[in-house]
This record gives sequence, structure tokens and C-alpha cells, in this order.
Amino acid sequence: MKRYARLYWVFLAQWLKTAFAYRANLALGLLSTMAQQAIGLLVVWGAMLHVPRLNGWTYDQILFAYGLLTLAKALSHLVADNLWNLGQVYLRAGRLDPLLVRPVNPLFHLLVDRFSPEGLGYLLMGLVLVLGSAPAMGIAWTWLKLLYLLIAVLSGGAIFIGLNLLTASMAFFVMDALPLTLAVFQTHQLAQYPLSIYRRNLRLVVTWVVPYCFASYIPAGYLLHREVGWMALAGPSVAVGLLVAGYRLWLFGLTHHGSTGT
Amino acid sequence: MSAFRRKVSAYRAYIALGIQETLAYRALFWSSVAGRLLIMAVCLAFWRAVFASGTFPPSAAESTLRYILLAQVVAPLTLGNLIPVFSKAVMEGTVATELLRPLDLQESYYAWSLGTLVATQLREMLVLGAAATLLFGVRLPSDPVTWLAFLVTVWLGHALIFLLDWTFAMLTFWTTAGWGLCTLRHVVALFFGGALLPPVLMPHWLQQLSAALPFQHMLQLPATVLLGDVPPSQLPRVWSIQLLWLLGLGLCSRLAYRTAIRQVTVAGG
Repeated sequence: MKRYARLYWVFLAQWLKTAFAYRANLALGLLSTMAQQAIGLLVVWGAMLHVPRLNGWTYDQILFAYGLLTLAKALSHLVADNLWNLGQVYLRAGRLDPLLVRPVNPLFHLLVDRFSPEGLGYLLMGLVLVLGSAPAMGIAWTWLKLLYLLIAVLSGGAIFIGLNLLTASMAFFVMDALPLTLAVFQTHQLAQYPLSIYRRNLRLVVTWVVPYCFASYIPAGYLLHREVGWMALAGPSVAVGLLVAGYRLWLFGLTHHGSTGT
Repeated sequence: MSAFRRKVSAYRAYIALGIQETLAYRALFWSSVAGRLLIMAVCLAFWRAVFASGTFPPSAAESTLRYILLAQVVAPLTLGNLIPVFSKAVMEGTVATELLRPLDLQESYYAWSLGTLVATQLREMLVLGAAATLLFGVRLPSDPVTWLAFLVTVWLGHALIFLLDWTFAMLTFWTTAGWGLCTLRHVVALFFGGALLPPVLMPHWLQQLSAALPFQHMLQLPATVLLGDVPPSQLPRVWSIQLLWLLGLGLCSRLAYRTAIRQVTVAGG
């Protein structure tokens, strides 16, 4: 474990060196993700100019939940962005093979092989949203609630990573898994808005099929004393379940990996 | 004359290349369609909830919802991928061979991009339109004149996007952040084109800002033409505005190209 922590730092430092050598690239990467988020928020802002509440949620409360989702997304981009490249960059070009013969866990090596600046953009944006909207929410903050918030963000990030690992690992079995990863990832947009705006089937999808709402409206609802019931505490179990399922599929895929034969 | 014929046949090959390339990625196409349908469902639910929470005249809410759905159907037309494709050519150095060919680089990329417009973007739009008719009750016009006017507007709008993307793509001679540039361009076009927040609901200053930018002529205009909200007598006027933008952006893109081309250094070996 200690060895992995040290290795992680070594890889991260290498990436930081190259990233900071090309500052304009880094800035553009950051700027593009932040602008993307800002425009998503402009839509909410533009709509909320015309109504005081959206299905009972105020503008600040919506921003808070949006911020939680953004933080979870930031974690997945910061820690596991390279999963997006598994199929097209590593498997198809035979670039996974060098990682397999090194004396570290291949998944760990894949994740530290390349980091992305996009995650930092999301992280900044998410922090601004959560910290900016929290005072207006009327929550009496205690250490326990802060701990709950931290766990909610961590499990949200793990849900993003788990789903990406599951879909990216499909690249071991099909020619191109990227469309699948993309399609599943996109459904996180459902969790940007209060669940009550959807009809029942879409609500079930975002709760149980692609459980992104455990990263936004369920923890936000719990903190605001809304009726979320036992689901308020289910986030970490859902996250662990997805990570375990994803890792098992990854291991299964590795045993089926035939390489490119070159 | 034969020189002209040779040029035409070369560009025809580029158009065919654009078509073949995009038809090869079938799974990506269908997942993109599925993703767009999902975004449409999210948009519809969101705006329905907004209209239900406020005091809007029902007719205004109804027509805005119709516009929102149609703008989402038309949206793929504005999402070209010239920037990442060009960025790859620059990074891998293949742009050097392309520059050696006896054809204008910008013109050949335009021919390629026209191919992708027909093979991917128009196809995606039609599939989306059909699905949205079934799922969300979108009504598409049946009158061929409206479709013809729509196609002309789309063709001009696509040329505008191409010139804009070309100008941005020239930046990839300096930066490797092609992907970031592309997503940035996409969201800006979607927002100021009027696909995300309907222009009628924008505050006054934002309406003025988007009217001063070219994006409405790429997205909102084709959508309103398809809705039948632009009377035929107005068409020459809107087309000439598009042409004026084309002229301006054309000059910009040419200037950017001239500057960028001096920047090329391709690794030898």
C-alpha cells in the first residue's frame, strides 16, 4: 500500500512536470471544462429567472446538488480519466501489454499512465458551487453533516468510476466500447435536475440502472430534510458494489486479453 | 476546363471520404442518437417543470416547448468534428503530406466536411426527428418547399460552422488541446445558437449578445425555418445575412490559415 502511494506520487509528479511545461494547453483544458459547466448553469439560471422554485427546489438548492454532482465527476476525471482510453488507445494499439509485464497492478498502472487537466476544472467549479450555495441553504452544519457530505462526494465519485470501469472493460470483448461508455456517462445529466421532474421510468433509471442521483439529489435532499428515507445512507454501498463489479469485469477481461499479436 | 474538371473530381473523392469515414463508425452513431434522445427527454422534463411552476400563458409554453424539441433535433448539424480531426493531422505530422498535394488544404477539408454533413449530421438529424415524432410528438413539416428552404439554410449554416471551426483549428498548430477547443466550441454554439435556453426566455442583454454572434444563423434559424415560422418572403433577407457572415468568417479563416501555415514544423524522420 505504501509502495503504491509512493508510486502514485512519482507518476503524478511526472505528469505535472509535463503539464506545466505546456501551460497554455493546461489552461485551455481547464477553461473548456469550466465554460462547459458554466453554460449548463446559465440554462438553470435563465429558467429560474422566470420561476421562484422548481418543483419545490430553490435556485441555491439546485446549485448545491449540481455542485455535488460536479465534484463527483471531478473525482472520476482526476483519478480515473485514462479509462476512457482503454479500448482505442491501449487495447487496439497493443499498448496495454507493456503495462502487464511490470510489477504493479495493471489497473493501477493504467490509471496513473495519464492524468487529465479537465478534472481540475470540474473540481474548481464544484467547490465554487457547493461553497457558494451552502450558506443560503439554512442547514445547521455539524461535523457529522460535513462527514456525510464528504462521504457522499466520495461515493459519488466512485459511482462515476465504477460505471466507467464496467463499460470501458467491455473493450476486452467488443471492437469498440467507447460509444457504450459515452452513452452511459451521458445519463449523469439526468441527475443534474430534481428527480421529481421526471416520470417514473426515468426516475427508476437514474436511481437503480445508472445510480448517478446518489451523487446529487439524494444526499442534497437528505441534508435538506426531504423525504429520501433509507436511500440517504445507501450511496456508499451502491458505490462499493459498482467498483467491485467493475473490477471483476476488468479481471475477467484481462484473462481473455489476446493482445494484438504483433 | 480540364483543370477545373480534375479539381471537381478530386473534391468529389474528399466528399466520399467524409461519407465513408463516418459510416464506418456505426456504434458511435447510434450511441450518439441514444444520448441525444436522452438529453431531449431531460430538456422536455425540465422545461415542462419550469412552465408548470410559473405563470406562463399556455400557448407561449406550448410553442416554446415545440421550439426546444426542434432545436434539439437540429442541434447535431452544428457539431462538426473538424477541430479534433485537424489537430490529429497536425500532431501526427500527416498535415505535411496534405500540404504537398496540388489542392487547396482548406477547400479539400471543406469537401470532406460536406461529406460528413450528409453522412452523419443530416442522417442523425433525420433519425432524431423520426424518433422524436414517435416519442415526444414532434411535428415535422410535410411541405417540400419548407424542407427545401431548410436545406438551403442548413447548407449556409454548415459553411459558417466550417469557417469558424477552421479558424479555431488553426490554433492546433500552437496547442495540443484540440479536444478541449472542440467541446468549448460545441457548448458555445449550442448555447448562443439557442438550443439550450430558448432565446425568448433569455434576459434582454443576453438576447442582444447572441444576436451579435453568428451562432443563431447556424442553429436557431434552421430550427425556426423547419417550424415554418419564417415566411417565404423573409427568406432572401435571412439568407443574405448568412452570406454576409460567410464573407466575414471566410476572410478571418483565410487570414488565420496564412498565419498558421508559417508555424508548421513537422518532425523529420
